[in-house]
Amino acid sequence: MKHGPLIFLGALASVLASWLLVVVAPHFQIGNQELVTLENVGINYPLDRLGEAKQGAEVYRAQGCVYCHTQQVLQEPLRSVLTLADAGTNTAAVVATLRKVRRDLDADEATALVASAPQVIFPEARAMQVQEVTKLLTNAGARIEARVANLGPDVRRGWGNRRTVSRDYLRDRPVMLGHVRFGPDLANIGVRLPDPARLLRKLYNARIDMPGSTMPRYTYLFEERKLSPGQPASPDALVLPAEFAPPPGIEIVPKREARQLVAYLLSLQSEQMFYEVFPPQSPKTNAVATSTGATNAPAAAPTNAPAATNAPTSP
Amino acid sequence: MSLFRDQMSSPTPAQASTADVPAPVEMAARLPASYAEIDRSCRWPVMVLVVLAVGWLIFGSALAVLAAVKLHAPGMLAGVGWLTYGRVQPAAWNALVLGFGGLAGLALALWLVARLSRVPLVGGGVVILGALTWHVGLKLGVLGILCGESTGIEGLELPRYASPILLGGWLCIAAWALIAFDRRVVRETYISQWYLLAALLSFPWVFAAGHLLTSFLPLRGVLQAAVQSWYLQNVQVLWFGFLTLAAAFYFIPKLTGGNVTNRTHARFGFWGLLALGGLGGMVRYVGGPFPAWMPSLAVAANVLLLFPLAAVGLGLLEVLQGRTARLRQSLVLWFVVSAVLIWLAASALGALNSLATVRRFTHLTLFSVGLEYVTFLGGFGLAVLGALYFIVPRLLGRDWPSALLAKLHFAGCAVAVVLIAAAFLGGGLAHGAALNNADLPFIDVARRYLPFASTGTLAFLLFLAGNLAFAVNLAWALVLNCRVACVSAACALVKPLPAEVKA
Repeated sequence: MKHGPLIFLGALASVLASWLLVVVAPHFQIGNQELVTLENVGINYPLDRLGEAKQGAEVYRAQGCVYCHTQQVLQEPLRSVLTLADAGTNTAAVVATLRKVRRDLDADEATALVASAPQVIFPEARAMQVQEVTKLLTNAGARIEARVANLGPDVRRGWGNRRTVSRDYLRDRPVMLGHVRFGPDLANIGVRLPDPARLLRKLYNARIDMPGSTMPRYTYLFEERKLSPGQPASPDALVLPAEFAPPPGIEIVPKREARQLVAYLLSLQSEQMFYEVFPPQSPKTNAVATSTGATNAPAAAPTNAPAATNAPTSP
Repeated sequence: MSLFRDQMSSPTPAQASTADVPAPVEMAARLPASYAEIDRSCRWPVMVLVVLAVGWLIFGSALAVLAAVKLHAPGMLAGVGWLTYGRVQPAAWNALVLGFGGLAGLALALWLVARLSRVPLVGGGVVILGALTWHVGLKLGVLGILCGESTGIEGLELPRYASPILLGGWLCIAAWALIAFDRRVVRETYISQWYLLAALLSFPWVFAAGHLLTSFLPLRGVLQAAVQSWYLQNVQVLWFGFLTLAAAFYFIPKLTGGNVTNRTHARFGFWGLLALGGLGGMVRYVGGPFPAWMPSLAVAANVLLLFPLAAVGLGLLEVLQGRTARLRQSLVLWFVVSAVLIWLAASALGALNSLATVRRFTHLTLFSVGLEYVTFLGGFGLAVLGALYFIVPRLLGRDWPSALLAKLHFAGCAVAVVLIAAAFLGGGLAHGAALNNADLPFIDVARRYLPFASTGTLAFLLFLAGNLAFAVNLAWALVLNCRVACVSAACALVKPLPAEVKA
């Protein structure tokens, strides 16, 4: 290897190839994504943020919240419930095939299962299994339905009712996905903690509501105001428990940045259902998971999302 | 020994071979410069880069200590907005990566390219100008981050007004390394030169494209995160990784007296790393809001990366084979050998970490943070510091004033890296297991990772202490050097020159 030009061309080709594969190809695939029109509500999702929330995004960026909080709900690894929806006409073939894919069934059990369709045949199938079983049983004349089985720890924790997808971030600039969870995920904090007063109190001192919290205090987003004797406290002053309260005659009032940040946090909601997201297993399970796995004792997640109309058949 | 081999197998064969073999015709006109001459030409530009880099190293380590403390003491200095964790952390990381990593890396590249090309470095003045430009631009950028003007994209935080300044400074410096390479006297290239050349050529594209598409013309939605992962991966492998390997392939054979015997391995390692190195970034967002093929591609690239890594590792092991006794004698080798071992281990761990089964327990935890620290500080950081222990005495023409301080430096840095590796990688697994357990309230997740994260404070304190020892040693050497220079200059002022007497 005597010549620099070879290395030059190699470096050029390498950077160009990774650029094309990692940036340009995805750009062609999802760079022109459109907003989703939610027909029953008549709005475009994701919603544009209102002025104060938009400024709040800048406050969020400037404080570096992204170094501890992610904004992405994951739902991995994906497992599906496979249901034998309809055995069709050739039940003998379906029974035979079913015994091939589920070797634990004997002939009677398989026949009973096929006769009593719809029946769940695999409660937690992997992606490859879904493909194979669906193909075999469909060829035998049966109809198979696949639904998402697992919610993943994020959904069970109540951090969202579904995973987040690229369309959720179309209005974000910059996109602050985060890559470490020193604090809880905030993709749906606006749904989970819809109370601005509590969010303000968290910003002022997270240990008031959550003893032992590692979240930094953002006292510089608040103002200490002296009250002249007899003057009533301002309406937006923080209501603090006795051990955290300032001395009498002083009130803590959020500055404009704190209010903007809270407006932004309230705007963080990605629970809308549309065709490319995996719907949760069932609303009932979701509600139970939300209340047991709750982290910050949230109000029960309101299911204001319109129900999914077209459930994907296979992942 | 013939000069017309495919490539050199050791960084210093030229001396021996020029003695044995008559120089070919094209080389007769330009003889290789002596090492002393090359070092003299490097003295000012490289020393300016080194001094600025060490300044950033100390500043960055101090900020990293502050950030680590703030992670477990949320009330500390809470009233000071510009010292909040979310600002100190990126400021520290930028100071370390771009301040120390950028400038020290360039110092290493300039000196090594000039030495391997056997030509004196030209353009020293422009290099110094470029170093100051980079320094000032980064100062603006870090101040901007502390004032809350970061772009909000991790790793690409520099505000819009700072990144073009840095790029300008970088071009002013790196151009002269390329020129030195082009003017090389020995046409055959050594392995270190491949790595240096590839690193020098790819960095400006990556830097410019990364900043352009995140802060100037941001792409839509999550594509910004794709650009970010691409940028981080390329900088980590093609800049810092390649500089680490360039230093390893130069210093390890040179100081042990060994040769890189298997050229096919070396070539495969280089081209493999070059081809696959930039593809693995999306592992950062496995399971995230992206089309599934994007992280899958990254996982495949990262696993394939194990092959060139193995080739590189085997090549270096062969050099070391039977020569480990030499390791004890040379501090430079302590640094460089441990650096390259850490870099290879961390890169292999990164490949393992991209597998779904492992990733389930490490995703979005301390583990990824720890792996970044270990790869950068333990791999590149130790390698370039070791190289400086070799370079600086040759530029100043005097040995290090204190061997004890140098040993303390090594001990501090090495223990710090081991601590970070143990605490963050182990803590990451605990963190991940807690995150996966949905029945655990989040406050208990925090309690699980906190002891490990707090260990980071101790590690960064050790890292800072070690680097302070290094800074003191460097300052001491500079003062001694300066005294000699100043005394002779003062004498020259007092004593009239013979020419003046005559006139």
